[in-house]
Amino acid sequence: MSLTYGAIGWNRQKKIYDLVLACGIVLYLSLFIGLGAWLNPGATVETLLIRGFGTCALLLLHIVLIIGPLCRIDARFLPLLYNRRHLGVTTFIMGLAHAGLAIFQFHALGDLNPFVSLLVSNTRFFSLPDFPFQQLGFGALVILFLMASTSHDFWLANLSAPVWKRLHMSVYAAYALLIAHVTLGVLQAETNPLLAAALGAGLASVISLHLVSGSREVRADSHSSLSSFDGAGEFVDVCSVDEIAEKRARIVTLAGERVAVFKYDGKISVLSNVCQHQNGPLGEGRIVDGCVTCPWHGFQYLPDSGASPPPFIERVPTFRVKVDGGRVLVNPRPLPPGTRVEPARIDANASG
Amino acid sequence: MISSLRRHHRQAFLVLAVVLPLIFAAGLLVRRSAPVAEAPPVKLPTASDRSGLVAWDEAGLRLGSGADYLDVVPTGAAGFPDILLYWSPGSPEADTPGSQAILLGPIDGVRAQRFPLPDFAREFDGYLIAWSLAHRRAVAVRAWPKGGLR
Repeated sequence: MSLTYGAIGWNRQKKIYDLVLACGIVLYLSLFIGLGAWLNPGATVETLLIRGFGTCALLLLHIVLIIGPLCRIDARFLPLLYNRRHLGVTTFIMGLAHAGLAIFQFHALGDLNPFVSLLVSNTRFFSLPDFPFQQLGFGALVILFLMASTSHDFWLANLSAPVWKRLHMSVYAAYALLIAHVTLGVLQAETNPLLAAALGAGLASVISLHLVSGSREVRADSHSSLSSFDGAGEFVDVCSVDEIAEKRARIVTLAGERVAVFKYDGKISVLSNVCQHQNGPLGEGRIVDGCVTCPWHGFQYLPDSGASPPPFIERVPTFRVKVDGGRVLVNPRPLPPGTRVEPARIDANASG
Repeated sequence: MISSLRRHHRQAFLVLAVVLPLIFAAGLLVRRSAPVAEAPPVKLPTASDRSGLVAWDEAGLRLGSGADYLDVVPTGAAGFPDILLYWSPGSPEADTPGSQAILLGPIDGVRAQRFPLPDFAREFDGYLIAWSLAHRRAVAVRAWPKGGLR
């Protein structure tokens, strides 16, 4: 959480994250090139580097894609999510190194512009085994470039989180292009079954984890979707006070969107469940130092107003709430972001 | 995420869950069993047994072909170190590979090599051209009747 834009808002967690990432990449490339040279003495350094960078990028992209659903399934994976954008940018850099070396090796020494050669040297689009797989990889790299270049919070704040999220969901198109790039490219010539098995396992992991977490979300939404109003028709009975842990929230769905009902210090406050930063799930966070704290990147909001404490300027919608007979009643109409709402007192209303 | 984004996310992955395994399986099923250019020349005729090969003496090479491959055997020291072998549809009107030429691979001139042929070579008449990239000229050109050398 920061007030101004810097290149990178370094903190201890990000430094550890990036150090582990850098060490992992150096170790992977060293092992790949060392083992590759040992097992294939005839392989050139250029070929080993091209394949090393390519497989590294593909491996990183798989990790990037499974972090999200893993966090939905088990909150212990949340530390991986914290700096996922650096993982994504690193994926692009590895892919760029792979593509740069490949274009130089296969297209730069002819009499055509290398990029023109890349796009026109193979046009057999109707033959699957001869398909121009390099164009597929180039398309994926363009998407990863767009994502890497807009990954900074500057773009997130100016595009708004929903637009930014939509833009960055194009990573799935890039992933599809890369699966086709590898399947119709290197796997056509390299028939070692281990290579196909590794790619198949990665593909199965990504798809199955997303389907499992997605189905859980659908079930959770259907169970928490509420529409029973009180007698006056203004408030919806969302849960019992006792169902909410202290300094935690219960997430319910009102009018199609999720809201987080927080209990703290004998009070109840209700906020939108959607963090303004990256639309993280505020209701899965907890109250730290008197502030609702997003579990994704630590953005904080005052529970009664939905506004970040000064000097920060993030704000989320709030909801009117009351407690009656030990039940929490919420008005489903969201108030403008940052609107202060008097918290409902639990003690005064518990006997109802 | 807001509910509309969650819905789009789920829809995207339902599509990917169908399409990507299909692409992956289809890609593996269509893999060719024919040797690729880098494969070792197993069972290829040697330079001392060229009875089944067609001479292509201009390039110091002899040629043989099967249903989907072309064998190239050098007959002596190659005069050019950088010959690229192309197959092109049509007739050899010009001594250049042409815009529709398909690169079969480089000829190293010191060993027998087998090159996979494109499907077009079985279906269309064309010609083979051995092209020196450094000298920017054809070393040899030979007509390629539909179906391969006889």
